[in-house]
Amino acid sequence: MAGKLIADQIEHSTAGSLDTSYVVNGSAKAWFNANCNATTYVNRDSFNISSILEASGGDFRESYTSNMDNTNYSVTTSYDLHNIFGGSNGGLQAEEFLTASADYRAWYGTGGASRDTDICCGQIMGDLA
Amino acid sequence: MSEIKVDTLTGKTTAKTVTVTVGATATQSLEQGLAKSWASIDQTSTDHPVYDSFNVSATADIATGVTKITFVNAMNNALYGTTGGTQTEATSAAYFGTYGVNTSTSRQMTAAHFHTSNRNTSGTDKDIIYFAFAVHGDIA
Repeated sequence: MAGKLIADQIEHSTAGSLDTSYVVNGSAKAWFNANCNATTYVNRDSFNISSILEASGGDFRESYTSNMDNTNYSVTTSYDLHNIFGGSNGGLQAEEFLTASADYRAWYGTGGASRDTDICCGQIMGDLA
Repeated sequence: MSEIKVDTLTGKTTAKTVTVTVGATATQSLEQGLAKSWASIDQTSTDHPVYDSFNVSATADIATGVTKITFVNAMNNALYGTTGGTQTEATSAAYFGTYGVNTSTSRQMTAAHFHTSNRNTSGTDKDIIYFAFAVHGDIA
């Protein structure tokens, strides 16, 4: 069995010290880089994500391997604005937060229509259950 | 209060794998949860300088709204996640975006760098006075 350290603070010899609460609270609990232009949406790489499921073009769900503790967590995203439909505005919006998953919409244009796109990235901060 | 004084945390079984308790009982990889790079950047100044950064060796003004961001320590592949946000300006909103891995241009995402693709609400490339990003994934 691997060893276990229980501590409130870690200190580097020259770079300073850090309360371990920052490690716990400051670490992303999940992240993903998804290809939402594939025939079947797929995560190129991810952490703490068990699956991605397309609902319709641009709308999809990312499910967690380990659930979040509540639905008050934070999601930040980015999106490739150029590929396929270059010359438009758009974004990736997190729409519904559940402890086991979150729903996203990649959209474009003034009407905000959902669309497939190449790069959809998300980062989740908060508490694991 | 307990305190650990160390310069390096290394996993016993696998060097980069250190497990942290982050929930009531839930644990996760310390390495996977840490941002590998972040920066806040001014695209309206010459060469798009950083306000502050981590693991960024250089920024370059490639075109309007496009900053090339090069890492000090490269990522393990081009599959990492980038997320970011922008300051909303007085007369228009703006969006943070990146060029992807399937973009058939020199702005394609690589392990060593990526390019931003910031735009305004009309879909026009836009230099933004303040935007910030974070990168998650594996370091080479």
